[in-house]
Amino acid sequence: MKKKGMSEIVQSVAKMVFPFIVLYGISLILYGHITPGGGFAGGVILTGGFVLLVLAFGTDYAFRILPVNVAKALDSIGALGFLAVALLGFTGGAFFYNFLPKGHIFHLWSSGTIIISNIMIGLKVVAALFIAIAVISKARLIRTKDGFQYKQSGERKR
Amino acid sequence: MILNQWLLAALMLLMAAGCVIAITARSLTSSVVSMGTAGLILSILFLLLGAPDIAIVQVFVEIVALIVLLSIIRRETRADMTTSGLYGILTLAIFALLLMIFFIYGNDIVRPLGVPVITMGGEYLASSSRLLSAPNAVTSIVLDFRGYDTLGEATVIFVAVAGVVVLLRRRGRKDEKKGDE
Repeated sequence: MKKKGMSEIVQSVAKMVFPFIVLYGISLILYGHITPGGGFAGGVILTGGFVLLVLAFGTDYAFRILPVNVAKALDSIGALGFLAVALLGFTGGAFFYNFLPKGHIFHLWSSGTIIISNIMIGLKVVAALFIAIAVISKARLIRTKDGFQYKQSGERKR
Repeated sequence: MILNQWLLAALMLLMAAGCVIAITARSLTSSVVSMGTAGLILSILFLLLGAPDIAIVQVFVEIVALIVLLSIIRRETRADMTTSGLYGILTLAIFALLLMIFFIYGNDIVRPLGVPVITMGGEYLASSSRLLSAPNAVTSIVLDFRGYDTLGEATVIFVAVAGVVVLLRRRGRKDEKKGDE
């Protein structure tokens, strides 16, 4: 049976390293209001983990972990959730008003809406970049005699 | 502080060298790798200038971009560059020289660093931990004080991904083998 993707060593190392990358990304997102980091940095790191999976195992394995439809839904949930946080500020009187209790400094559940916004931005960034990279990695340009023809891998030959 | 400035100048010189090699290299692989060098040094510069948030984002975006470009090159193209990049070298060298002069002697030309014209930032820094109890002032500015800008950036990412998905879609594409235009 021929395996897809890279060699056995790369696949084993990728399997071992991937949970730690995900853990680091989630920690950067959750602690974004206390330590350096935040939604965008954590989302980009999570995307790096998925790029590792795409390279080591091929696109199908990554799609089994995070299906494209789920990623599209997460993208929309992130965007709409951030907008909802902004709109819920009208309960306090203004757009982007921080209406939640602020808590104590250096605690995880503090600083009101910032942590929710961080989670939403992180979801949005990881889903968006994963969709873009997955779509680009499936696209192929076939050279024909008059120019290039666009194709997607996995398309049946006719 | 003089050492710090010379360190910054040396790093910027390395970055300019990476850009010049990226423009003039014959093989696309070495060009992409030296572009990655420039990005890595840029993230080190961000770290030295005291912006760890941007440094994290920069180093990971650079790694992802490098991986994507390398895999695309390995898969798609056989062609390498054939032009000699003399004008590219000249332009970049002059630009890098002017930039270094500006950064080294910029204190005499423009306002000194750390004395901004708009003093709004001090108010943000002071009220970040007091009002919002968020120690990371960057996050509290990006997501609370200036949250409207971040909403715009999220919209930009959304539109960009929608563009990628629409342009590279499979459904509804005309079959060119049948010859209909």
